[in-house]
Amino acid sequence: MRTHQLKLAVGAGLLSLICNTAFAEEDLSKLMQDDNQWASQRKDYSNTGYSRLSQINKGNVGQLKQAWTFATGVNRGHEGAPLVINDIMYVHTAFPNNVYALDLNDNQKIIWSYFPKQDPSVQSLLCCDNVSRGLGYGDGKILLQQNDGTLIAFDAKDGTKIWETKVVDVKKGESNTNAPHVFKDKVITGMSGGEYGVRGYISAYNIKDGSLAWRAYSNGADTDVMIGKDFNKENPHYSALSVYEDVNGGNAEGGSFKALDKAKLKFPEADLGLKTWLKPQAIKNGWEHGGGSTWGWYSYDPSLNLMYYGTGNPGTWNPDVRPGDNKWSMTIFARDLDTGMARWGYQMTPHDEWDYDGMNETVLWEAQGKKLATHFDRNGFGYTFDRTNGTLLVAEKMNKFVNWASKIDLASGVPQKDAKYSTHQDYDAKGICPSALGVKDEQPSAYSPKTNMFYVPLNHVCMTYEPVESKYVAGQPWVGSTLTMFAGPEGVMGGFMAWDGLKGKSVWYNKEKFSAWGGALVTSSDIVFYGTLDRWFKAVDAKTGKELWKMQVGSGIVGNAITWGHKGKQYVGVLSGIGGWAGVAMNLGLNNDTDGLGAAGGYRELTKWNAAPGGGAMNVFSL
Amino acid sequence: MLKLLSFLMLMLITLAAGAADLQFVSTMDEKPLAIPADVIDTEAAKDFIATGKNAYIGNADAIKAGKKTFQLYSCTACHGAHAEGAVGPNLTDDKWNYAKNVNDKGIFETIWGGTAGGMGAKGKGLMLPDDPTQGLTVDEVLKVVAFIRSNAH
Repeated sequence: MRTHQLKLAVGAGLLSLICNTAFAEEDLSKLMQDDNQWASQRKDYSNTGYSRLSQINKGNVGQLKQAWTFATGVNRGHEGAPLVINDIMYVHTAFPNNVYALDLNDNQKIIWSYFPKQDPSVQSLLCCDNVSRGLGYGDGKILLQQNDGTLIAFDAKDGTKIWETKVVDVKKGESNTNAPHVFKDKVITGMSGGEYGVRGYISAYNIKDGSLAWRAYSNGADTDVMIGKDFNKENPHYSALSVYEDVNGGNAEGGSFKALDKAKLKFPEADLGLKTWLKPQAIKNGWEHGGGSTWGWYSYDPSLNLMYYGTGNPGTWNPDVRPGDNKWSMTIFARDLDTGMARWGYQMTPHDEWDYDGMNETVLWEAQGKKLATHFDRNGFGYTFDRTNGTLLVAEKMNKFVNWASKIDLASGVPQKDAKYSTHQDYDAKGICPSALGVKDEQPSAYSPKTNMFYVPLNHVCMTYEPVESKYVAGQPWVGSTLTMFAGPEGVMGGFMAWDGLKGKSVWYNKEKFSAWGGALVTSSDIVFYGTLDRWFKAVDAKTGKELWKMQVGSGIVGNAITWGHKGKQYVGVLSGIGGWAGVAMNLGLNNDTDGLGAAGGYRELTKWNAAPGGGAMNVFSL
Repeated sequence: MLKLLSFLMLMLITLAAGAADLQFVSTMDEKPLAIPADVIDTEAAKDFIATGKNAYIGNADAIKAGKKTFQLYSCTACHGAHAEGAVGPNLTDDKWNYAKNVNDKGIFETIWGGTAGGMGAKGKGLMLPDDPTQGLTVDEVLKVVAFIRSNAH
């Protein structure tokens, strides 16, 4: 009898656990459907940054006024955005990654806060400013991914710590800047360190207790990359051994990789995460420090149960010391959320020579009855895939100044590189467009199902690139290239455009003085919001790009615009606090005429628009 | 009591006279920075540890070697190809995050022991505590400093 009772109790416990999990998923899906909330970094699983709120429309947007602001008390780059859940706003900051829960029902009074104690030395691992891209939410928990790799789940209501785990090993040069993303019952989190010789991976934790569900590497054997038998089934040529001629030693100065036709590719091959790191590498096994970090925005399709993300640049930036395609760096992966197994993977920039880190967001959308995924890569091409199987449908230049490749061959998926812009050790390659910052960096685009267009913040910067010999030491920078950056042929450093994902064409294009380094928001009233480095928060017409409203905030914007509703009123908001790659030099006080020719040089004029270091604040507007 | 004091004074003077080397302090926390004897690898290094003078300043061969080391350890990633600054400070102008970097002892201490929340330690034995074979010797740091100074204007 006793045993029986115990069984029953266990059974009941299990049942409640199952119910809770189911409830957790339903809870987040519901919140994502409710436009009064902003429950995940890009609003929804699909990464659209789209809201159906329409109280602010083209007729009245000109009357937007500041509603309130919240200074975060922390300087330097504030990327990402707060979350708004059930009348509470959750604000994060740059290092040390403080968290504030603000009560929207009580004049933004602080309900709870958290101040991580991190070893300050982790800052030396953050290549491109001390940023965090925000918090995650699910199962009643707020998720914080600290720069030092600590992942914490708090009770969203009162800030009680529920569980805590360590994601990365800082001793290996690994760190975190990404936002944790909650998909169903998993917390997905990546890692940074492509400039420190890391071996990249992405991890899934169970949201219930913080236990590791799976971890998939970006390089190494198929078992580590979690590649199984159905991988790239419909596009086996994505799993080719090499996509260029004479890969081993053929990339000497003056020559270049010549793309192979699909007919000449050898596929499918297994263990490409090992085999595409040919000898001699800079170190014994190149793939062990082969980069492929995963610090971007991830998306998820519940109907396919697939999650999508991009992997970063191979290590080091000196291409001559890592012959081969360097898989699976620079790759868009689709993985089964439950098992982590890769369904498809497409390498955008085989054997990268320019640091065109492939971590940018992948946005999921539907058109002509097809399930699609669109990705705007650092390498300057806008890609649209059939997201069920990875078939490449569109790959077009986002701006004609892109010159490292003439085009992407849709049949093979291989970029046709231009020898003139190839880079080699101790040779200073000139006039490469785009720069390592990419035509777009991490700043996420938005998609409107109403206009069927993407809204894309852009960089317009070119570079010189000189690879040099460099030595790998664990936890130390391992970059192996020096570069200088300068404004592109349009004479400005940035832009913002609307993009047709089916045609692969820009519909309208606005120049920006500096890179548009803030993420976009689009609403059903056809208004697009985004921020600029010279402190403007702007609203433009989604159909034409015409400016409708703008307001200047305290510091340059590298955060993402969001919107929510509270007590019947629509609000829009954005974090300010200049930083990130574009602003880090300024934050460090580099403002002399002789200072840095890298990102610092190109962006020197930022000091005419910003105090340094940039102060963090949340800026909120309403009618 | 007076006797004891004078004895102690005498001891101190003797000690100071015996230890001809300079005291090096960490830029990170101003605590003493130990430079083990086995990384003081050349005459120039010994001379520097004793006097704080960098004999390589202006020496073309040393500057060339220093440039190579500056690249090899990816110093260029943050400070730029010519130490002009990139995502890390410019080392060629007269603006310093740590005023002492203007002299060779000061900049040596900054490179050797690292800074708080900025650059990691580059000195041999400190760069990678788990592996004492990693890091720069005193002589290598002096050549890197010679390279940095050669870019100054």
